[in-house]
Amino acid sequence: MHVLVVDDEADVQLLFQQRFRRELRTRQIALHFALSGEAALAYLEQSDAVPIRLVLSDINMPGMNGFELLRTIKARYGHIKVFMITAYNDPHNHQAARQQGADDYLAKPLDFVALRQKIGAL
Amino acid sequence: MPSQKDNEAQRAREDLFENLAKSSMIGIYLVQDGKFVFGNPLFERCTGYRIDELFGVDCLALVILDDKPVVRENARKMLKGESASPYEYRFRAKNGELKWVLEMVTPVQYQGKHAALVNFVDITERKWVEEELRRHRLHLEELVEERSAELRQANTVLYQEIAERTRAQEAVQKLNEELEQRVQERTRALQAKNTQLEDMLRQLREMQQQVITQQKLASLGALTAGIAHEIRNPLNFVINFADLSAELIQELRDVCAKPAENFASDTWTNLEDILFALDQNVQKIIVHGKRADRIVTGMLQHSRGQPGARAPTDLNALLAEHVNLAYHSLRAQDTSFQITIETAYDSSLGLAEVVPQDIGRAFLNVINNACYAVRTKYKELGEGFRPVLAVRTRNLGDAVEIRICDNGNGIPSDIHDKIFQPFFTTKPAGAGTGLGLSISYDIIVQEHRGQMTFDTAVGRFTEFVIALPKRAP
Repeated sequence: MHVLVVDDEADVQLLFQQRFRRELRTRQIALHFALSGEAALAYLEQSDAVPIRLVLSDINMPGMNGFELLRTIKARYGHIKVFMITAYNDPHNHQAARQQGADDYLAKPLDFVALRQKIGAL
Repeated sequence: MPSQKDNEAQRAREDLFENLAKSSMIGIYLVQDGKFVFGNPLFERCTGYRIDELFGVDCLALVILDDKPVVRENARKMLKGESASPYEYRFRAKNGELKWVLEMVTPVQYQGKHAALVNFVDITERKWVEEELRRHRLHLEELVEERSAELRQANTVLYQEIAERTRAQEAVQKLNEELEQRVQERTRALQAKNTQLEDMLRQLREMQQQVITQQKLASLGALTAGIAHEIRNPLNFVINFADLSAELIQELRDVCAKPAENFASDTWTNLEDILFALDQNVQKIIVHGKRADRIVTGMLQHSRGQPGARAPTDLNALLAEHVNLAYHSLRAQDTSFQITIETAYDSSLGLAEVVPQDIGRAFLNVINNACYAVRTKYKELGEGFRPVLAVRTRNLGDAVEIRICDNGNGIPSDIHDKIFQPFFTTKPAGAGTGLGLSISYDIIVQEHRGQMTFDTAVGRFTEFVIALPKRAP
């Protein structure tokens, strides 16, 4: 499964690579990274060959924020699932994400056990 | 016939009389049969007539008309011996001058016949003087009368003035009294106003203090929300990388342990020690990272972006639910701990429009503190102490009162003003965030416009009193 992780913090890449070490090794999961919403959209556009099934996006990012990215992806690529990941763990943001089409909502600090289960359930 | 001797004696007496009369200092004349018969020189000087001019003239001829009766009457009385008082009258002298005389009459024998001997004193000057004096006196009397009149008038004026003054003074006094009364009334009114103003000022100060507190909390809330979000991102890495490291240490241990023969035994022991310490450190990083995350969670609860939804809530049920929750979480931590929970729920409470999750959180915070307090005291005193948590509700009509009371150690007075401050805690490091009561206060007072107070006695009890309006403002 190809997963695109969108976060303006580069360390997220290292964290995901380590967390999904086993899945990466067994090629159950392939990770792709973008440091901004814009970069994520550009990546999706030019990599039609790579069948991204899931986007994990931060909400609070410079430039295009996570909600804008969510709406754009849902508008252009209806088949792609989007999980929002944020430090804003409050009902308001939760509800906003749901209303704008997010398939799930995860709070920082990320619980990778839960995330692995959610990905497995897809 | 009279003898010669008698005649001589008679003549001698008459000579003596004539001499006496001639040299007398008083006027003397004789009247016989109502007519002048003799007058001495002084008589002549006084009347201006020679006596021979008056012989045979009526003795009253010279007397002025008005005085004639006086003379006639007095002379008659004197001659008869009925009176001895000299009398006064006026006559006109030959030169027309009016003269006053004082006169006495004595009956005598003259030339053998009855006659009246009259002697008189000219009192004209005296009369003038008297007249003058009288006039003067009259004048003086007039003057005195005038003056008196003036004085009387002046007096009257003065009396009037005095009366007016008195009236004016009375009026002034009355006015003064009125003024004084008014001043007193004003003073009383002012004092009342003052008291009122002081009350208002105190209320304003309290309100100001409340506003300041609210502002502080609000700005602190915004700040902490920002900080909390920024901290959560690095915290995410800390916790996850630490967690990963723990996994990696386990993997490393597994890898190294299988072909244990690859290492000398002391090297392996050394390696295991290092791995053990590393693992311990990483576990500590995870524990403290999660602790930091709990603090951040608490801070974020302070600054919920959107208020929760109000719903008609049975506060008795909500309170009972959270009492239960707190009790079970306490028992989970310490199964040996016993606490008596006394409840008195007012069944007439009805429903209150509150945000149930928030009010529930506030209840839980207060109840948790109460449990912590009795548990601490229990640890100090042991079996002799019987922990009690008393929870009561009361219907106040428009509001609901909730009382949560514990028989723990109470709150020392020096920290009374601090307990609602964010991050203030009496619990040991790591055991509390110092946000529980602060958040509760925020929820009750800010969000629900209720009241939150407490009563406490050190070593005896702490009671939190929460009042919540039934309707949303």
